[in-house]
Amino acid sequence: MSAQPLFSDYNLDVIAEIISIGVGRAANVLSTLMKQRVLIKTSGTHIAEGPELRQFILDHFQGLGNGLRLQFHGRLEGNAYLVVGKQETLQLLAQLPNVSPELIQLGIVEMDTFAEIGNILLSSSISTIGEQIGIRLRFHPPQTLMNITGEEIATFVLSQSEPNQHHIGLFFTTQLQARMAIVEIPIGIIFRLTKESAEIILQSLNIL
Amino acid sequence: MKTILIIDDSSYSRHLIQQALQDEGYTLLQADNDLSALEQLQNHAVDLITLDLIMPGISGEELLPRLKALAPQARIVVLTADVQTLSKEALLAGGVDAYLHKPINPEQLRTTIRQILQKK
Repeated sequence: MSAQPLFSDYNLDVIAEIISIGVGRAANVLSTLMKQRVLIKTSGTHIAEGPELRQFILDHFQGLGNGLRLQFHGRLEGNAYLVVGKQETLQLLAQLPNVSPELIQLGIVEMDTFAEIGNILLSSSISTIGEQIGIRLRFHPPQTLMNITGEEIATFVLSQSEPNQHHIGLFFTTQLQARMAIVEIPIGIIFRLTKESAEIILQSLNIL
Repeated sequence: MKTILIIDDSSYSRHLIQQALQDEGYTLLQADNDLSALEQLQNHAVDLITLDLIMPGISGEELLPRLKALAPQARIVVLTADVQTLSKEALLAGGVDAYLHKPINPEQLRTTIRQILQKK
């Protein structure tokens, strides 16, 4: 027996668009950090729950990767995740001015720099979501996991799920193409919202 | 009566744009992807296009030259969450008439479109 959908397609589209605008703002932050234009290409927004979200993650991340989780709270409760492949992380960091490629290759600055960039990207995305619906969101300190497998990334993303709690995961695969360097860097930004938080977003926009 | 084509993969954004412009006396058309947009342009004389940049598949920026080739008379208003100054400069240099940020500000959108169409 299939479960009753939590939200209509239109409602999910609204939530996806609100979050997508947040991700767009995050690209601006990355552009500022890199001092060059960042082209955003997306393969689309996927909305999935539990096992389906796990499968999305496994499909997108083979090999080792790095992950950062930023938990937000306020009237909305949820988590945002940045997940980037190991090699893609190094490519991303190599785009940053004032960071020595030698130090990156040696792994000396990888974790700190990844954590800082991820924190800035995710917090700007989440802040923009809050602004759109007139809610101030607060953050818990970010958690970073380095050199983990796709399976571990999936566990990392889904680890705070409670069995009787519905979550909506939105999965963006965003390719960042730094124009001068001609390098495409796929990164994943995942949001997990409780059903109640998704309802608050819709209510704030007078949709529910 | 002026005709406006709204290109955005989000039905929510299309709805907001439609709502913002519905009392302005325009004929409003919609497209949720590049193929649908090109088909609309083949079937209708469009005066202005609102164009989202971040769309699955072909991006708004990649679509732009094809829109201009098919409807050279159409003015283009980009509506995007991409707030980078460098993006704005690149798109304006590429021939778009206005570059507005999402979330959509209905009054700003109406005023911008009125001004662009009056100049036409």
